Amino acid sequence: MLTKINVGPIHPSTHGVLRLVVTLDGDTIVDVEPHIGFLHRGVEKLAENRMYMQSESYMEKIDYVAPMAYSDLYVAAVEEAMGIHPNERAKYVRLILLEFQRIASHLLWLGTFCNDLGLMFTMFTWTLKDRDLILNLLQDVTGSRMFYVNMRLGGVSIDLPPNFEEHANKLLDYLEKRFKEYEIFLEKNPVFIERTKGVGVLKKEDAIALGVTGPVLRASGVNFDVRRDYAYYVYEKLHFIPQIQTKGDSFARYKVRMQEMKESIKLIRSALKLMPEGDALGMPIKLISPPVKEKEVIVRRELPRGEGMIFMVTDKQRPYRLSLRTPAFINLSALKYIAKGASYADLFSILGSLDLVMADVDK
Amino acid sequence: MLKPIIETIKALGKERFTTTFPEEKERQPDNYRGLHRLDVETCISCGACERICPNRTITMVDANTSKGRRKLPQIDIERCLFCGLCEEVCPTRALTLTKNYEYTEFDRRHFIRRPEELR
Amino acid sequence: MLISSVEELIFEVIAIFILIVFFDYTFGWLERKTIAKAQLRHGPTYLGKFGVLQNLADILKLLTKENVMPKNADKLVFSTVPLLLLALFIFLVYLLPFPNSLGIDISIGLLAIFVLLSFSPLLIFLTGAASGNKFSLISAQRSVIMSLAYEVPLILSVAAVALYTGSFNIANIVYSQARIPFIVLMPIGFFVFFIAMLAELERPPFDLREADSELIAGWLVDVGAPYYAMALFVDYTRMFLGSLLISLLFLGGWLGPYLPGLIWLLIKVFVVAFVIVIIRATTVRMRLDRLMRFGWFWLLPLAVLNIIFTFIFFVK
Repeated sequence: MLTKINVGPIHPSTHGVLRLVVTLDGDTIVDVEPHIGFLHRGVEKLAENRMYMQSESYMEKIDYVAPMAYSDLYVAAVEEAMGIHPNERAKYVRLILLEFQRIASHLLWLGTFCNDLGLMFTMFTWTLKDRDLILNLLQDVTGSRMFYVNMRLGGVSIDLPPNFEEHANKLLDYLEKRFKEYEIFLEKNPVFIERTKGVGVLKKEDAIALGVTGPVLRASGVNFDVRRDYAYYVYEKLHFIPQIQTKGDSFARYKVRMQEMKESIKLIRSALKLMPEGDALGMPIKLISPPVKEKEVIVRRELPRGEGMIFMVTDKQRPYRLSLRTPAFINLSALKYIAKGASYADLFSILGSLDLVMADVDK
Repeated sequence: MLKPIIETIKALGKERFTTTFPEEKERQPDNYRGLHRLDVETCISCGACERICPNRTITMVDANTSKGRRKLPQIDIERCLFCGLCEEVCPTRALTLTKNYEYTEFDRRHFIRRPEELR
Repeated sequence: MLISSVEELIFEVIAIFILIVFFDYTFGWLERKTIAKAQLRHGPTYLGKFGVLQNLADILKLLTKENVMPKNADKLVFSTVPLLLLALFIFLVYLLPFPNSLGIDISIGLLAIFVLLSFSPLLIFLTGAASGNKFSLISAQRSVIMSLAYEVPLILSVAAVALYTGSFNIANIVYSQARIPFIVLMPIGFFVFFIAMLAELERPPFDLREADSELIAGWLVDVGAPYYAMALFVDYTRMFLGSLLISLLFLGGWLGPYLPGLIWLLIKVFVVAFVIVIIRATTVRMRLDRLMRFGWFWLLPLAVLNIIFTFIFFVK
């Protein structure tokens, strides 16, 4: 006998407003149907009526967990349309700030994942404390903790303060120690291992056919990362290695993100050593934008949740049409195929390991 | 199973990370983007802040100053994104963002701040 | 410990009731503060020194609210069965012996407690099923299945204790631990009893019924406010019962040097409660079928092994 359960828009575990209509047969899931659109704000249409650098603030609010990554995606598209290239030091500064943003986003994901499994906030408060220390560092650089608005054409708005390197190195040493403690806390806990190993397996061919991206794809064994295959800024010089796991279950997705955080720490350390002297400031905001040279632009970046793409058709002072492909939208559509045949309590383990932010899905 | 429990017990001895808010406050950097502050003598009424704002927060209204009756910016705090573009585009640096972040009101109409109140 | 007059009966009833209320209130404060400290926060600090009056304020607030009942609920069952549950657990505390001539001394105390304890899944199922709500029905079914699987190891490990002592009288069990407490003699039995007791008390990692992030607090979804306050009271009284049983049967009860018996008993009860709270702050929730497998395939053989060892080595 099939029953339908409504996991409603307001729920402690759905990371925003997501409505799932789950069809159950006893305790086994037969079908999952997501209803989205509760957080749609029309960002693509808003950007059509504003000048180029005015809509940077709207792009940041697409993802409130890692705002600088989306702001960088948009500003890079505008720079390519205008033919402006950031200089060497600006590339290093942007890379360092983006990798810090990636660590902060994965820390928040770790806290909410353990919350979904039933831990009741212990891991959540510990990881939020570490994320808070990173946000303090970013606040000293940009002036704000959450919506930075610091990307300008050709660089950043405020350069790194003089004592940034020693503060960053101290913070990175502390974070390395904490990651070892988190691994002991979770991987030596037999109940956590039972809840995540073998749950929600996604095979390699299915992952490529469904179009998922990011850590979900790399946990199924596919060796693809935008930072290596379509390299931007200075990732080639820093010898970046993507992290792969082969099993494809929730535990593999957790492990990929932990390894990515450690890889980010290595990248920041080597970038701090190799950074040249100079000036990383970009163009300040004026009432009239520089002239546009290209007609259509496509830019790809590796956001913390996956691969993001932007396609822009340009006009003289404002974009004529903007189209965004955000990773969480595609990862959510794969939920139906992963969750078929699992038990009801596994649904939250799978949903947590896909790392969704609803503002990313609904734009 | 024993090692996670030892981790939890170690956390009992660490320093608390939350602050008791009205009594203790956290420090802020100097370029923090808080509430606006208008220097009435320096403003030249160019209207650049009104044109650059993405969200139509600023409107130029008539106000009495020491140099006669001129147009000065009026800010609607409910619409403001605190992005800082108006501070960056102002040619005389009359409009700046301060470190104030406590501006609660009981009535919604008090959120529209006239130029004389932006002190 | 024998009742000889009506005044003594009334005195004992009131004294043990005050003990229950004292433990519930202090344990409520201890749990909130300990979990907050383990999560690097402060916990309640505002009302009273160290936030001692916070629970009192919460209960007073809950008791002054309106009692709303859902339309599909069975009104008679829904309003009386929680009260029966509370009465059951308080009555079970009265069946335990306390030192300094408090408490009742029955020669079949152990049997009586476990027979009456097995009424609780029935009452819990009735409260869940009478809500008329899909979520409450699911959580009530889950809790009945869980209690079924974990009561058998519970009773078997207690049977080993009774086998060693040779009587069902709890006071005798405590006095026969005068040299060595039973936790040293039968560590496997203690382990099985502790975990099975956690499942009976429905504390994490076995808290399926109030799974906060899956079914949004299960059977408590649409009870009225006074019943929510009573549900908290039931939860803490059940904790008191469980910790008392663990410390009386395995840790030596009220025996110990220098201090009066009642103080030793309270110290042991608080240490056991502290360990249970730390376990709550550390683990995630188990899934239902894994839980069943753990109960039937691991705990049951261990309990049987425990009885065999006790019989071979210690009973002549």
